[in-house]
Amino acid sequence: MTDPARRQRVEDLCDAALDRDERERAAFIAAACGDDHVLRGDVEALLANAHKADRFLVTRVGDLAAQIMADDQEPSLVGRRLGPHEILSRLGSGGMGEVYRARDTRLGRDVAIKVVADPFVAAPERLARFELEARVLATLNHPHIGAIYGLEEADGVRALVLELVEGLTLAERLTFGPLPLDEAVAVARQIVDALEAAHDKGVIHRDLKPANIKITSDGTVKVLDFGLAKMFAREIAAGEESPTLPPSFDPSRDGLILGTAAYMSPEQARGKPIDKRTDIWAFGCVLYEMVTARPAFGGESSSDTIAAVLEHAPDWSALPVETPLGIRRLLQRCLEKDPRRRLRDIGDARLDIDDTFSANATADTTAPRRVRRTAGAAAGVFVLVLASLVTWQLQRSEYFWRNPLDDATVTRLTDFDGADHHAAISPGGDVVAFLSDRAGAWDVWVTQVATGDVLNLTKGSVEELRNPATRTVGFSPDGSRVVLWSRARKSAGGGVVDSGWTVPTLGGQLQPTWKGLGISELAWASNGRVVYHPSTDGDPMFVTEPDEKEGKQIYAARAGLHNHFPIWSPDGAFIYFVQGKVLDSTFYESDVWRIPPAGGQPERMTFHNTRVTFPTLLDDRTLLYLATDTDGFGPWIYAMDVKRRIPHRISTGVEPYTSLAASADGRRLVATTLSRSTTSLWRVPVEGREVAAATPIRLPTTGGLSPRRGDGYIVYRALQAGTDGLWKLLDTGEATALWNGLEGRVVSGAAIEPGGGHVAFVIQKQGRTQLYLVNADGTGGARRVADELDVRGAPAWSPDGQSLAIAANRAGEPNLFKVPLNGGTPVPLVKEYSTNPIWAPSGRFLVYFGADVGTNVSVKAVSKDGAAWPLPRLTLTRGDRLAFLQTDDALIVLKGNVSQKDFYRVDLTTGHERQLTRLGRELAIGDFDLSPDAREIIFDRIREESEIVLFNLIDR
Amino acid sequence: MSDTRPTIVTISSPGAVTELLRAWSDGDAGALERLMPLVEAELRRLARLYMGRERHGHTLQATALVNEAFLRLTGAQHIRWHDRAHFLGISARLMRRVLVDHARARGSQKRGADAQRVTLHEGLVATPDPALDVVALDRALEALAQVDERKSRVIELRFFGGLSVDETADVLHVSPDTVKRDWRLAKLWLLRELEGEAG
Repeated sequence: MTDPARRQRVEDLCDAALDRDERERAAFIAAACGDDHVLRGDVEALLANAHKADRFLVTRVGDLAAQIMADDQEPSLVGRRLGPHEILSRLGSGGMGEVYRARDTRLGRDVAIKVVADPFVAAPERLARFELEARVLATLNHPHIGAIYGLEEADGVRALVLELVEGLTLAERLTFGPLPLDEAVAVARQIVDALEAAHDKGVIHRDLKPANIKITSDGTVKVLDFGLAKMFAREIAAGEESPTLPPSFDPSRDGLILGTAAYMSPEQARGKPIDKRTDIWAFGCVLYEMVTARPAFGGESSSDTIAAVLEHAPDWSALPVETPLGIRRLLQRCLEKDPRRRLRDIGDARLDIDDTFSANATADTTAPRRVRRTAGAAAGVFVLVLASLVTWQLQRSEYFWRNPLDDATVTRLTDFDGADHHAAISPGGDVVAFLSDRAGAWDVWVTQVATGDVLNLTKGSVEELRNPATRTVGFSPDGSRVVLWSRARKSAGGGVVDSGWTVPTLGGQLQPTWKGLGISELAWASNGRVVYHPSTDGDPMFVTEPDEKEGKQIYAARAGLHNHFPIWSPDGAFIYFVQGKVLDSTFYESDVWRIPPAGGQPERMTFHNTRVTFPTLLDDRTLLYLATDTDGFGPWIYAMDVKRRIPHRISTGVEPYTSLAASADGRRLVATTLSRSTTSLWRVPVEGREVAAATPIRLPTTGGLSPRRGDGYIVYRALQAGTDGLWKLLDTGEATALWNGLEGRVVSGAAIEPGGGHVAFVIQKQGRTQLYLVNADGTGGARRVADELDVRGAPAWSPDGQSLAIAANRAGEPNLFKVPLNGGTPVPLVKEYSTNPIWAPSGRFLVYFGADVGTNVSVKAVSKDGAAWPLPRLTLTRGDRLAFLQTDDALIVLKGNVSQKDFYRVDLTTGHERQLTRLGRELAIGDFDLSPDAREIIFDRIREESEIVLFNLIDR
Repeated sequence: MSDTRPTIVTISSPGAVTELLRAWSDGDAGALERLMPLVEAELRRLARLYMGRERHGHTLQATALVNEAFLRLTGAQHIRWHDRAHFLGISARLMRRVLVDHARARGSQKRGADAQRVTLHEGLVATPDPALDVVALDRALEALAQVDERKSRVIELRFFGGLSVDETADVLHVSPDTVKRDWRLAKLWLLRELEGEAG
């Protein structure tokens, strides 16, 4: 059919035949072709498939693409719903699981959903850890970090909800060739900002590479998948943990090398412990690739690439000739194979970039003109200004700051079940003393670092050992004795008294020491001086000279403030301590202060205004302490040079730290870290005279806290999807989330409106604590009330339903306010320290907690209009709680020590009290509520597991 | 000093795609090599999106996929591409290249080096085209182009580009009737070719 004329003839005949009815075609062709059998054959061959033609090539191209391009191996979730998320399409898949594009129907935005494959979270502890990680990653709120919104779970599918960032990845962009230098620098600066923000929160990316960096159409850079590499990898290999290393400092314990070969730091490639400097290496690789469009380290295979990473220098000649010296130097400092010689802080990269470019800009434009005109003088001034700017920047960024935990080796000292707290280390660094409940009761134990032998020093003989708001265990300056404090319960009148004890470090008789001084805490300096404070108003601090028994008062805070955790600087020049407020047995709004032992004005060292505890000195200049962040996460370990006073978060990972202490030479640091905390809700009947047993409440969430009884339901808060939400559990077993916690975690118990229409609750976000209302049936959104109040603790609804009472910050201390619900302005109800309001059933008055002295808290009352209201004397221990029975004259009180509390009925007219429960000591109770018919108490229980880690700070 | 506002950088990617398209249409074969991965990634994204919509019962516009892909990649609002027909023509060709290459790669991945035929997964989306083999279709189109370039283009534009009869007529500067006639005959020609290959 090569002859065009003949082909034309065949086609014409076909065309004509097709216009005819099928039954006439054969006759038509036969007639048209005559005896040209070849022509007839050709026409018939074409027409043979005419019956198929109608169904040929009718597939629409989108369908075709969908069929060809979509991976069809995995069951797709497209079309399903995950919470409020409607899954639209699959975006890709990776080692971590499938990624989908989804529509958040509630917030009306598109998100990315990363489905977590089952094996990652099969075990409950892995899940808890995963949720904790997600929660911390979710606090990485930064314009250049792809956000993690939270976790979503439905029908057995668990997924991370991530910010959907549209645009090209840097890897895709680089297929067009290198970025012009100014673009590369602009992108690099944004990456630096992202890394710096994450490192400040202790989060390491671990897999920074061009494919994880997105550039949106307006040029904004977003770094994606922060911390996810570790999060998922650990979940894979959680069963293979090495017992000697705590999770936060050695991700490689998983036995997996994480990351992408070409961007992996040498230490990462070798499977060694890594820290934020691994991100600095990867940043160097990315910057190099941006300006050259080729990887800094490459090879035919992964092993060739790793060999290049470990052994070869990048090809510096590939850098464009116009690359400024400052950028070349920065690249060299980032791509230094020895992490100890590498750039320490990503913030320093910004400095290098800015210096380079400000210098360039001046050289190009302003400077020459000025110099020409005004000769030396202006140039001199300019150099001075530049020099002072650089110095200022150096100081700001703490160019010379060195993280004391860099290159530290870390050992886990205990790996038993149970909780360990208040670890202290002997001045010589050879013995660690700590509180543990592994034998049932809280006891002081010691362990020898060298042998790992453990010994129980108190064996149940000391009660009330644990107090989260003080340092409870210490050593004598020679290390021969362990010092401990407890609060013995007074025989009459309630409350507790403080007692100090010493016991030989290797075991022996407990000796009551410092009797009669009412010491609640002390620190013993190497020169024999002691600083102590009794628990009276304002925690007055006393210093004794060696061999003196009674000391001289050097300072007292105003009532309501506490001075705890005193510690001497090694040179004896200062006493460092924590000053702040204590609410519900923990510090909040506290900071580290210091004062000379001779007295004078104390000096504030830190400005967190969060829960700051356990100041510890490695040497006269290096202060370490624990602090929570403004969203309430942590506490993490912070460090500062006391001369510069710039705080640096130095612990990485998500484990909260609960105590901190250092040896005298500052070369060993011991800390306790919370590895897991489990919560549950319980109910116990209280009607008869007999003491009944408590039974657990089945929850749809993993645990629950602060239950509140409604009519036919319980409202409680629970850690779910990586944050604390507010849940409503119907007695029928159905549950709904009233507040999912993504816009702020719920931090205290809720209040249910009399009549049950609304629920009031308190959330914390970025340092602010705010009061919200939501419909009790879960419909409609939550609305904020009393915007102007920075609230504290839990709200209480007035029995007439007209107002809420809640403590709020006023002139630096919590005062009770009445919040009218008709939109009126909140009015102060009590103009002194007052928290935890509870309405009397009649609505005529409220009771509340006054300022605590030591660990004692007095219960006070005020009329509904703010007038004084008489109340019999009632003193509780911090952390105790109460609720009214159905009348104004009887209370239910939860009291006891931290690890053993029970419920009592207290008659307010006679002061008579009767114990209602015997709950056992294995679980701590935090909060409770009484059913409206007063027949049942519902309460929460918290079980924490923790471990002790020892840091050897070799380079010190 | 710590200004956290996003810095605006002019990333030239949309422009770059437009440039590459132009370069390719001007005969620069290298441009295609750089264009393909971008287009493929975008098409894959869109394809999945469409598959998702399909399951939701949304209807799919024939040209939507190609248009959306190119509008996104070229930054539609900025390009001054007056010759829409030219643009559509190039889009269709690129689409064909991407789909065929992808199908071919998938075929070799699944069946080893001697993979010749790719049968589409019929279970995913109901399709009237029984077992359409895109790779074989591509080969048949090549053969058709040897004897009748225009008919091959008609198939490419209408099938891979999703163009209507009138749009195709515009691109090829012929009448709609010619397009209809070419379409009908080319399909018969291809069916015969494919049957011969299969047999």
